[in-house]
Amino acid sequence: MLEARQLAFGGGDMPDHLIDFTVSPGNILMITGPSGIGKTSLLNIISGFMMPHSGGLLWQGDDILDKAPWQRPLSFLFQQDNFFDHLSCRKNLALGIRPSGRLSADEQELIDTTLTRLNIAGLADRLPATLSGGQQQRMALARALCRNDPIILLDEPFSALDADVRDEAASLIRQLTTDDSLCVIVVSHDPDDARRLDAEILSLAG
Amino acid sequence: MISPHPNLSRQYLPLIMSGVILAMVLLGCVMGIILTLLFTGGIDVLSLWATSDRILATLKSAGIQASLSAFLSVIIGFVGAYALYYRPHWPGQKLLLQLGFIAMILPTTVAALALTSLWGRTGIFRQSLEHLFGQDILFDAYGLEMVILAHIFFNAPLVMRVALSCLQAIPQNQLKLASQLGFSRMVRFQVMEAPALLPLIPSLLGLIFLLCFSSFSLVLMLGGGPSVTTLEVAIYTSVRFEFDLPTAAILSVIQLICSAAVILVLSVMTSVNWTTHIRPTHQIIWTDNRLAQLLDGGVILALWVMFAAPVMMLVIRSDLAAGLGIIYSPDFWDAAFSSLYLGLSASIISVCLSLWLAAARYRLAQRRHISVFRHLISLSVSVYLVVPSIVLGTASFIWLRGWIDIFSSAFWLVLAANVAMGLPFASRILAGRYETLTARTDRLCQMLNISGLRRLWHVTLPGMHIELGLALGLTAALSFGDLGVITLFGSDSFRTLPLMLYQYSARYGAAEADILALVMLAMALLLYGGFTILCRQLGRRS
Repeated sequence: MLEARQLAFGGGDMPDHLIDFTVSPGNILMITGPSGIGKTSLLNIISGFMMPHSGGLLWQGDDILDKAPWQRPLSFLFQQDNFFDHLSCRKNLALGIRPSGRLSADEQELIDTTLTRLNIAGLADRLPATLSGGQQQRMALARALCRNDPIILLDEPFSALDADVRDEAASLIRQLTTDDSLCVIVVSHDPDDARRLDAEILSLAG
Repeated sequence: MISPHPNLSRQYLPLIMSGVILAMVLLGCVMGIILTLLFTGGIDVLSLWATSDRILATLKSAGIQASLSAFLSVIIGFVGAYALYYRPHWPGQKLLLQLGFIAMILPTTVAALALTSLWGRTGIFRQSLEHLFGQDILFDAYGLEMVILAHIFFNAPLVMRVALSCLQAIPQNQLKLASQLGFSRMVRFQVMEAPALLPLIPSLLGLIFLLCFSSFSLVLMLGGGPSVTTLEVAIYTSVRFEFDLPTAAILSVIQLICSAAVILVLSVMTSVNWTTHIRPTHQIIWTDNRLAQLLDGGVILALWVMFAAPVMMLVIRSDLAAGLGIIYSPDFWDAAFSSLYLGLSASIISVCLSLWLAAARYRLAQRRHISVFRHLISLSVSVYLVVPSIVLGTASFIWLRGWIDIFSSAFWLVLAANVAMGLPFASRILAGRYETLTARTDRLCQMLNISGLRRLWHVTLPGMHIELGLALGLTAALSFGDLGVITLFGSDSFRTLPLMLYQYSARYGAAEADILALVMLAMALLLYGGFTILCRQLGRRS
């Protein structure tokens, strides 16, 4: 279970916040609110790119606030720049599993089964830029699953998608969350997304 | 405000500190150079007075030469770009444009020899005209005109590329509008093309003036005597022939002041991108006529004669039977290996240093409160634009004379000078791409724990393969073909191909010099092409 206790952040152009939430495995928390309110900053704090003023962030009871991004059990799907553009998708996934990029046969197979599971098996050797928005999102999800991280953060996952694939993407995320018992946190400004994802809502206000 | 996670800030401390130390070493060298020069002669008013006539004469000669070279290069480059702009589909256009890029890697000594093969005493143009008119009606075979011609040969193609890319940036809708309104070519020029070109003029003039004002090897080979000179040639003469180090020091200080002044003025104005990209085809939509075709054709033919003919002539006239003997001399192979070794090591070192400094500078930029060090790093690279290699060589000559045997350490001194020369070039090409690539991949790398050498190997190097190839190829070709510091430190035991070519062209017959020039041309192209193709292939494979 991921738990935020009295997480304090804000200042500058952003209003001050004091946040509490819990996300248990198999559940989705959607952070919503107007732009500039601090939604992405909260994701940056959870993922370890930024430090809150005070408070605690607990994973299975242990505080992980002191840990650097690569030491936390999570994958962050950014709004953009989710791939090394000059490397093939397979190589991108390999670097996600091991920073050296050198994989065992089992790990290679894990990539293939994950890609098949997400219906993008034929795209492994393409460059990320040649994929559509929806395919890129699946590829980034595939990397998160291969990394076997129990927490996944998604920053505006539907904003770059056409209306007709939004529902499809949402049901995929919902299904993976349930099947793999993931703790998922989604940032979105669209209230409809909570219904699509069957998510709890955390609303940030000024 | 919320701050970045402290673990992230700590991660880059070693990089930042080593980068700042490196920058300080680079700046320390420049400080050492300036102090050495000042203490050797610059602050002695009496000796300054004694040499003032000579200094003034040198400044005047260099000033006139550089002004004329800059003015003519810009005019010819603009006229050429204008004709090419209206004839994008004529055959050979692409090749003509690529000549502009070759001018960047063509060794100056080779160009000097190529130009004499056309306009020199036994040159084909001069002899045909003499045959036609019964007497030599051209300018002197060595002198001001030849130096200017050589400077146009090098700079006009670059002006042409820059100007053409500006013309091609005129929006398509404006062109459509112009043809709807039935603009003549004159009106088009006034309304659309002149406003696109005019803003380029000051920075182009300034930059070419600076290059020609501190020109060394072309003036040395084509100037034909003391009446046509630059400060650099005067410094070289003082050190090598008169052994008058105080005068050399004064001249060096003046050269530094002049270059710094021009660079300062240039930095205020808009900067010109020399490696600008030219789109292969475009539509210009206008009603053509015979007269315009004839005029454009004439201009393009003149460009071919001016830029391509010298090198072609060098190939045609070279006498293999008489000149090939040089290939069998051990001196040739020594010089060839020295040059190759210099070119390769100088380029690799300057590219590594540039990347290192760019990385440290980028990490410093993320910490807004210590911007002094960031400026220090920028300065440590750009300062080497102001220090010409002859000045660098002279100062190290004076500085190190008492400590080490200069001539037995010649290789290292020449290498250091070439690295310093390549540093601003490499940084210019690499820094921008490094910053955008790193900014885009930073969070991803931190999340996936890809850092240090792993990040360099998997992310940075493959992501920059085009820029790395360009930087390595350019600096390698430049160092390989440079006739600068080597003239100060070269000896019978250490020579490079450019020095050998210079000595042969001055002392012996032309046949050996021609062969040397062809070998150098091939090797410079090979170095440039080799690096760019190799890096492209490596980038593709990852």
